[in-house]
Amino acid sequence: MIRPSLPENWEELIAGYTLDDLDPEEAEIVERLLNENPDLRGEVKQLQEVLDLLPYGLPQQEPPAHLRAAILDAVQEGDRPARPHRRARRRIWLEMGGAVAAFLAIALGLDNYRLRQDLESADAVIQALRQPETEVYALEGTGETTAASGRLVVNPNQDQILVTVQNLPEPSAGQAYRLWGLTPGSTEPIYYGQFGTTAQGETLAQLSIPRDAIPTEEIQLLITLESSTAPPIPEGPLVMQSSL
Amino acid sequence: MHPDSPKPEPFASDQTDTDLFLALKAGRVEALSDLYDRYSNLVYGLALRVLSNSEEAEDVTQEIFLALWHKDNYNPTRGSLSSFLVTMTRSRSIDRLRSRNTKLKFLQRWKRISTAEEISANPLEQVSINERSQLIREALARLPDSERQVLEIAYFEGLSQSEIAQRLGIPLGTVKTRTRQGLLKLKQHLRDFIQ
Repeated sequence: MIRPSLPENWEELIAGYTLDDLDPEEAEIVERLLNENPDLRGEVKQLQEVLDLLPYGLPQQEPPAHLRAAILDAVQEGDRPARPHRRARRRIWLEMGGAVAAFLAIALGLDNYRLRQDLESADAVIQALRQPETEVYALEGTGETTAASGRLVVNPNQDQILVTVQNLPEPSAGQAYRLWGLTPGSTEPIYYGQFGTTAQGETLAQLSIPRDAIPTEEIQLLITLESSTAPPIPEGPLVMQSSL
Repeated sequence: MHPDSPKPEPFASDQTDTDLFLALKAGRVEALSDLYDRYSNLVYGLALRVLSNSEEAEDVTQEIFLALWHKDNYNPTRGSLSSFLVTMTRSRSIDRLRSRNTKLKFLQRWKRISTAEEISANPLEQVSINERSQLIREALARLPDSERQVLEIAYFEGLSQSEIAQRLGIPLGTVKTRTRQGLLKLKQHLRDFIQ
């Protein structure tokens, strides 16, 4: 392809961008090239597609036969699949009205006796769910904490968000879980706040955050385990993230 | 295809991935079993390549297919199902690999986590999985060994270029040149299949 306005090594730079191996100087050049030539994003996309074909080149590996049975058994025994369209589902909740909000709090995982005693927090959930603008995001465990699950309840018109989590081990003394948001294309995470969990691995935390930093669907949410007194820079292991 | 594993061509069924996914979301277990038959080799093979441990690769495979059933995490308008499965499997497997070594610098992961959100299209969507495998193997075989090696380490093991340089005992600049050239040549070799 002839692109007279681009530096001679533009293809290499775009390949390096896709591979995430640019040094800071090159990264600056690529950011500028992408801004000036938006069609270059198509080149990035193609290279990413090529990379994602690499697994097809691996030798054929059949998983053991018992795995198929285990997976199919697990779903036959259990519940219905998750329905698509998170927004539509939320609207149904809202139509059900505030009287059902207490039930919803339980559905969100607040069925722990101690947490139910925490009326203030439960009220906050009910209030949040009554707002038509409320969004609910799913969080899932990663790595060693795969069993963890949770929800983030966000009302874009308030400066508070609610985090509910289950099966996330209680942090040891001096440690806390921290919630971060990462906007697409950024490597600078936004720090939302920290919380602990109970010995049962649960929490209902209310975090105050600046209104201009409210999570949206585009933001990847991440939870890490950190020292509770460390400056707000993520250094510890990733324990949960928003569902892809 | 491996000579020891004669398997019916997975595309014998004329249902598209999207048909099957929608049937799955309607609660049809057969749709999940069809998708499993279509993609379990790809998912398991990728997890095994990253983790080099069959038990962990089984765990990841199970997680991926159960997540497809239980979670609302794939949107057919955002990319192909096969690319979604590849992206999820790679990112979960590399997460596990990294959780074995918590010393790794956290910030290095941010970008990868955020790019893992992007699901690419699959330019080979229209050809069968066996044909895809054959095309990729032929294209990879045409790369110089030195370029293929670094490209595969970077993709399957999620190592940074300096970690690769350290492991192979070659200069960082050489690693970068080889990986980038390898990727560009691979794209060139597959150009007839990429829009």
